[in-house]
Amino acid sequence: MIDWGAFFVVAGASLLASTVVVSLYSLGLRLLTSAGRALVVDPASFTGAITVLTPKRAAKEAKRRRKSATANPLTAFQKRLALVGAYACFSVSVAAVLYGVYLIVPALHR
Amino acid sequence: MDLTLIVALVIALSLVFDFTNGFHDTANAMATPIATGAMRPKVAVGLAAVLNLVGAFLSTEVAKTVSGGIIREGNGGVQITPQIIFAGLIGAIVWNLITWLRGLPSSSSHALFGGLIGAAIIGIGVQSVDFGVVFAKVILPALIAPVTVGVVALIATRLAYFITRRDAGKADGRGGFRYAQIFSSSLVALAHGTNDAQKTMGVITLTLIAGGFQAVGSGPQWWVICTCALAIAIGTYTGGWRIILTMGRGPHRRQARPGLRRRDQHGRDHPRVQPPRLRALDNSGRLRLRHRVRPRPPRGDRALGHGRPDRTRLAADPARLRGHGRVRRRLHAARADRTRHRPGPRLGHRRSVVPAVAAHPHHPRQPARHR
Repeated sequence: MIDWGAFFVVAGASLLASTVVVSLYSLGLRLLTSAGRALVVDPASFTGAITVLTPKRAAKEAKRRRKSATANPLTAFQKRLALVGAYACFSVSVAAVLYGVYLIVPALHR
Repeated sequence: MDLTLIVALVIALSLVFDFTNGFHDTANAMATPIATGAMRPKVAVGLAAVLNLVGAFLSTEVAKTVSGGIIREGNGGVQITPQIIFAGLIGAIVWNLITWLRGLPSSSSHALFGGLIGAAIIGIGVQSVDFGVVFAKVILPALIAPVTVGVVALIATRLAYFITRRDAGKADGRGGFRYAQIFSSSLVALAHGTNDAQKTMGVITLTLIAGGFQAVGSGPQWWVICTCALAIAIGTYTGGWRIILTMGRGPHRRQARPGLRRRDQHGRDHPRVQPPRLRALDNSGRLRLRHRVRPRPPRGDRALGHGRPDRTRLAADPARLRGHGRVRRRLHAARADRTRHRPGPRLGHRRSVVPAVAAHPHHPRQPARHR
């Protein structure tokens, strides 16, 4: 009567998909940081919203980013490798999201 | 009344419902990226409206469930009339508007289904509703979805923190999650379009089938899809403007009104009026308003009963009791009791006052940002 199997499939699929996408994106951020290019969002570019970073804190973050760029134990080759890995992670997670969009549009796979 | 007129009325009402639905649910998709500063409010709201519009065109599966599943209509079943749908819609719209006014994040779709089911029970009878389908496709998902998604989000958040952890003082790149939020909230808006616009399409299709304007079991027509998509998109945009106006005024009440000025414990004016919701846990674990936390005398003195009115001292000096009412006396007695029976300080017990709720972004005391 009630299709419990469907619920388990949905729960499992959402767990799998979200953990994979989140892991890939986080890994991309991690590799980007290792390569010395940590993403720091400039609060000035989001003037319409709540200021999440105070100017003091933003300066701190910028300093931190410069520091991590200079004091990096990795060699130039390893940095480049990390950068390539980061972009690979980002593209795979974007591809996963696009696949999700493809799945919810029946017109595309019929 | 003329059947065509009623059908037209029901279609208009459905579009109003669709509008309130979009109006109601903009916040679900776009409040988080606006609040974290991932997107500018105007951009976020425009994007939500466009994605709702696009999403409504993507698929019509949900619409078919609504128009053909829950109530047994057509040959062999019962005859559902446009009047019943009309009544159901009115109920759903009123519920939507009230929950919107009160700021409750309630489900528009379940209000719609509830209205339709109730109207069908009164108009036709209990046998008209397929309760098996209602339970399996409406009630059960509503119960299971929050739990499942909560667990999934818990695991995913833990993973994200685990992967991006670094030593304190080093850049961890977590600011980049804000870019991902643009995509995730866009997908929420898209999914809202594919899901909720279709509920209205289903209702209009059901009306057309009931009025005999459309074949039983057929899908929604193209003009139904277009008008529904437009209605939900306009509703989303309008609802979003309210968010922008709220954000423009500031996320909290910044201006101190003269009557609300508070003093800190040393009697100075507080630099900023604290948000009224901010509460603090005192060391006994009770919730107290933060500005109520008073300085205490040193512990040794308190143990001796100094610094507080003591029942024994009050009782020993009857002159001091004169002029105090019975209520006042009781109050003193209760206070003295509390002082006397307070358990001694435990080692490792936190004495500091910590905000129980997430601290306000401008509050001087900020919780640790990195875990």
